[in-house]
Amino acid sequence: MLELQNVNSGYGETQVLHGMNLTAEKGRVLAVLGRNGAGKSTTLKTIMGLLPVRSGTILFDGAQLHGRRPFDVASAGIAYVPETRDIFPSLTVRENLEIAAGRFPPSAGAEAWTLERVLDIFPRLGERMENGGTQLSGGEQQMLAIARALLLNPRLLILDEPTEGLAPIIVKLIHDKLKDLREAGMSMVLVEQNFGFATSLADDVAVVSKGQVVWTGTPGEIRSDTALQHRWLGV
Amino acid sequence: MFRLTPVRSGALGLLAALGLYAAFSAEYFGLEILTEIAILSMLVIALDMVAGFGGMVSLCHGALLGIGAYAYAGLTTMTGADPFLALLGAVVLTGIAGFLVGAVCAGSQGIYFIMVTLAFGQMAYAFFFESAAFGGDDGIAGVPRLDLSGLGVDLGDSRSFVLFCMILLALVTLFAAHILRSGLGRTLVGLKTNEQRMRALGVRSWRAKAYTFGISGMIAGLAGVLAAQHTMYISPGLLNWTVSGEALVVVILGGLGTLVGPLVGATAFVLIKHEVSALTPYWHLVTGVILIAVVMSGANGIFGFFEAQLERLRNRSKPAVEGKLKQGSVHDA
Repeated sequence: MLELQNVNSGYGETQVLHGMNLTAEKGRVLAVLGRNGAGKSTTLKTIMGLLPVRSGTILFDGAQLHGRRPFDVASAGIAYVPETRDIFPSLTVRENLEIAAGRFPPSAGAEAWTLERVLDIFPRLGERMENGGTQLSGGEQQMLAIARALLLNPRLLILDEPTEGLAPIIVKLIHDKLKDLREAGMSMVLVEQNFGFATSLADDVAVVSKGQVVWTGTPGEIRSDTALQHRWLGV
Repeated sequence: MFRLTPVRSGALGLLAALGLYAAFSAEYFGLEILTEIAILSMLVIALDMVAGFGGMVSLCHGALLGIGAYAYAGLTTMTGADPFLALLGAVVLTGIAGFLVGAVCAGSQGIYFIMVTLAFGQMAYAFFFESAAFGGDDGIAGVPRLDLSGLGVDLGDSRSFVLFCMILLALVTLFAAHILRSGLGRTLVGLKTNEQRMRALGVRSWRAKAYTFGISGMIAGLAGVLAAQHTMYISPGLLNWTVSGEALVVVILGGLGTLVGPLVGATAFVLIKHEVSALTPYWHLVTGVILIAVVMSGANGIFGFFEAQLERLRNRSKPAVEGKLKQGSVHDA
């Protein structure tokens, strides 16, 4: 579904991705693991067109994605939940959601995401609709960021460390909701530091180091291979 | 995003009441001042839409006002168009001009945005200043007012004209509030806070900016049409960047991004100008000192100051309820 071939990218003069090759399959969850600074978030920003691709190819369902602008990437069907969540502080929860709602039609055969549907998933947001973006807990902000991304009716959801800094009970809640989405057939790319969270959700795992994929396999394989974990993840 | 709080609707009501009282009680000179306030108010509402709500500080709104005025004057005096059609034509034309400026400037930020808008403004100024067809620096005289004799209204009369301007100002204020409460208003807040995020949410940022500038241009154009009808004579001075600068001063003086504040600012500015210039030719010094004091006070303009005070009072009057709400909504996550 999404394919990165030999992608080089980075910030200004600093190159972060060195020939990144990555494939995400339709209807599956790909977890991208790796140490701090390995290039995980950079990969997602590059996919979204927020960072320029210096060379290499990004294909989404066979169509060229590299060199396209962020709103083109979004309209092609990729929704991005950034690590910083980026809730608009001066807007209410409802307005934060409305900013994304109805912008893009659902893909053929898919049911459209509406305010009601995302509130079914995150009823807690329903109780906070008129609260300002700054009056939310970290967990609620994360729910709002995911709900807002879903309203774009994406075919692929990419999430950057959705559990960072959250209480264990909220991590479990986010985990269960993402699992429901996966069971409903949503394709996802998940960047995570939380090894247990990522491997329990993922169908496929890619390990990144120094801007390259150094290992791919299944969650089971990496869970049972402690030498691999120690070498690339330091866990 | 514009929110109509009780404080704001109260302030709007108060301004409307004061305006109406003045319109019916004032003599000729007072009516002239009131007309000036109404026209300046319209211009600064246009400017507040882009600068206050969209974060796009523009130094070409004087030029947009001037384009509206010249389009109206040109259409009526040169082609003999019906003043009503000329008014519509001028508003549409200025809207297109605003859209184009917004579309071109959308890619630049901060100081560069200001400079590009300034360049547009000065280009328009230079064009009308040099253009023989539009009378060069002599401008155009004999601009007619709208003919509303069908409704039994003679706009040649100062009182009728000021009421006409105030009705249009009220409509423009409601229109601007409506736009800023719509999806475009939300998008503007998003673009101002985090443009990258909005782009990743699928927003073509240039288009939202261009539309806003276009709507703002239409309002500035209408202000220009009224300015031309008011003095019945126009000159390139209308397009000078100092007009844009003055409008920016008024918006900041009143309260950036509040929509109500600029109306307060325009009223205060015109009144200060007339009252102080009667006493001393150095009235700019006085407005300058007032502007510095307002900005240094840390409040968002005159209106922002009162709004913050009233909000504080309102919150103090119901601490028990607030406390309960807070307790009920504590989350551990």
